[in-house]
Amino acid sequence: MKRAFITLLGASAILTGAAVVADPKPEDAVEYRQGIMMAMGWNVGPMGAMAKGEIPFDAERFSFHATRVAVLAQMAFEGFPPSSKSAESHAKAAMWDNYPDFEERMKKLEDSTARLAEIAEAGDKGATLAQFGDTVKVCKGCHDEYQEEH
Amino acid sequence: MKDHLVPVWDLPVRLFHWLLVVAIPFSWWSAEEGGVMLKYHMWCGYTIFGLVLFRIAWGFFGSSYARFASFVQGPRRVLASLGELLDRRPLATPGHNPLGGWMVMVLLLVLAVQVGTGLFANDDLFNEGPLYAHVGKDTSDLLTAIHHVNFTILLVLVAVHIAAVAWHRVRKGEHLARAMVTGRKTLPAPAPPLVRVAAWRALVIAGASAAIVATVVNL
Repeated sequence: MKRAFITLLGASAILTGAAVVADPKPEDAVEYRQGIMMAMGWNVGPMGAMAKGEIPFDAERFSFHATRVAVLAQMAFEGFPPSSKSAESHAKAAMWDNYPDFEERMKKLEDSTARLAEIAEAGDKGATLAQFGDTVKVCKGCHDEYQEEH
Repeated sequence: MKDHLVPVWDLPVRLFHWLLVVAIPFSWWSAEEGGVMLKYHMWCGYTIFGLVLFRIAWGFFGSSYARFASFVQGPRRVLASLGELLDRRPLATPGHNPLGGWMVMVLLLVLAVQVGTGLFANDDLFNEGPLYAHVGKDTSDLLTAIHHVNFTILLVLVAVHIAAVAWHRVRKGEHLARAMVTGRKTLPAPAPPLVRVAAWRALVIAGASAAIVATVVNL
């Protein structure tokens, strides 16, 4: 159910996004995706704190943030059009050189975050945190591979 | 030629060494793992922070062969010792040899940089060093990059360190790793035995090191 909702949201975001920003300026694309990443970090923070036991696990709050991250994940890839390669950013040249791999990783992120949202909604702490660990690995994998140290 | 078994490394020196042997690989593994594991990575970093503080203090107030003054030599002495390092005979140096002494200092420096930058680092996900808030994201990102480069330097130094110990073993017939376990070195000539210091001194310095670490990470 939740998955369908997120898919729908994502699809509509892509459709309207595509309609409005047919050919974004490279700098705008960078700013957009950095905004998305910032918003993701904003939501991942409390989940990470719960996973580390810094704040008590709150299934409802976790689910809230997981849902948002799942939606944001669907909005991220469009911020990396090949046309934005020229703009200064933290993307490594390797990311543009291996664009199909990057795209695959972003797809993996969408799947993984959608699964996290779904599992988090069920409210089981163990299962949620296990999936969170997997999702974080997807984040980290791509950062390690394609994000410039800055 | 008669061998002489001489005590050179006291318990604090040996503990320092072998705790690092556990802590550095764990730090590496937990960093590669990332995510929630960085919590333990940070605990491990605090431990190494304490170990480095302890070793620096022990270099001034510790047992004789642990003191910096006993093994930090000038460039001429280091150069003069190179020939002895290359030939097949075991060294007569009881403590650190002139080149090895500098390796100790370089390793301590690199560890200090590693710990110091780690305190301010972030992982772009949900982990931040305890002093992150004092510098902000941009400075933290720079220090994180240094943290990563410096770790590569540390790995290279560790490899050189192990290779050197292997060299001493294979080429010169010296059992340096064993000496770091037992505390006693087999030397080709008699040497002044280790001058130990009272155990309370190690305990006080360990306590002070732990207190400094606790204070710094809670700043």
